[in-house]
Amino acid sequence: MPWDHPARRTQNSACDASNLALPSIWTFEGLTEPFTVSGDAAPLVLRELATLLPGWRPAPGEHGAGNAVHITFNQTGNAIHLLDSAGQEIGGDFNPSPDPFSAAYRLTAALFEVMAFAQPNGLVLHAGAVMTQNQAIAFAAPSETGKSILGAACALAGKRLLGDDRIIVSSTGDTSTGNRHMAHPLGLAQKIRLPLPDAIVDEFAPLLSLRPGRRIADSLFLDWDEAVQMPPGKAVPLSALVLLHRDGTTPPRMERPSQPQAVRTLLQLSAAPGGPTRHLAAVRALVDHVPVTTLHYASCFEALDAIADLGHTPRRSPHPTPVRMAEGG
Amino acid sequence: MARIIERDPDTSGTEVDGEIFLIKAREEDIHHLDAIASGLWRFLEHPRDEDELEDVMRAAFPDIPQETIDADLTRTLETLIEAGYLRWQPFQGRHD
Repeated sequence: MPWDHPARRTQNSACDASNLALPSIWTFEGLTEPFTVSGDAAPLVLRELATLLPGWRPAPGEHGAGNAVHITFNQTGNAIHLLDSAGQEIGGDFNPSPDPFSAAYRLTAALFEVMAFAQPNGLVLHAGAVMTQNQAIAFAAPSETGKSILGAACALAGKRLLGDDRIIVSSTGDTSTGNRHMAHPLGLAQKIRLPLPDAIVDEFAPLLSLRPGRRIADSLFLDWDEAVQMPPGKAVPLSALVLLHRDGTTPPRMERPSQPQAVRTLLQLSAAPGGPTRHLAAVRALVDHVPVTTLHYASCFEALDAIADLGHTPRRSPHPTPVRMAEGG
Repeated sequence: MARIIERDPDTSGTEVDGEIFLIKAREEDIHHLDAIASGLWRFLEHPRDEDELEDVMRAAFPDIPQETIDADLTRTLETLIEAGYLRWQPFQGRHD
């Protein structure tokens, strides 16, 4: 059944391609070459992509053999095929997607892996990251465990975000700078899962009012805000990595995991194209050169304060909270 | 007659601060071994018979009841064999 069949339309989907004017060629500084999207379902997917990647700026263009990545969608196959300029398949997601939004989501995952592969020790990390003193501190955790709420708390506190769900990290191999690892913002929309917990509804209301965005199912994708969100394309030195555990601990407690524990956790929280050997090597390089800390906490504002302490910047949250530091495995 | 156990030749191990991560060729999984299993993996740099393994484990943990060690060793070996990282050979004589 095609995606735009009336029987498939859901309340919040954009399954009407009749008046879409999005270009089918997107350029992005993080990719070495533009990528093209084609197929009769391409406009539907591109519309959803605009919600997921509001930080990207699509440029109109022509299809050409020189484009490095070419993606095809059709309404019956719904497959993502990534082809290089010679027409060779370099990857993709070949399972049919139930709707254009799911296809767009899978497309972002596939594109991020292409981008990570182009970077030395490149990893797609399930993490957000916040700027402190011109460097980034990443906060990593599994899905639906608090990254987005913490990202929203950072935005409320006036901090700049590289993202709240995924970033790319890579190494420079340049020890002279003192920073071997970099964090790459990806231009993803900030996403908040609804309904918000009662304890923070009032405090988050201003953010939702200023950036109402678009709701899809139980997720709210906030409008892009250049003042808060760093645009994609410029990497920032990564100074620390925090593994989040929202387990009710208050006041928050930090501990340093063992190297094997950190590697094991980050293997589960990352993706790296090129096979498991490359994946393990990239995670080891990250753990060897970036301080990793586990943070046990109860509220997002306590976590924000703890991360601010790591970056040695003044607290700006409305709930400053002392943090206990412990050595532990 | 004791059986010989050896590493799967298509499996590579990477050590991180004393613990081993295993990768099997042409597969996507990365398997983490805890401290005890890592020690076992290192001991199996060359094929060993199962009696040697029991002796080494008992000597390494003299305060733990023998039955407990034997049970842990059996469980660890079964897990790693089932995953394809280790395999049994028929007894062919001692390897050093």
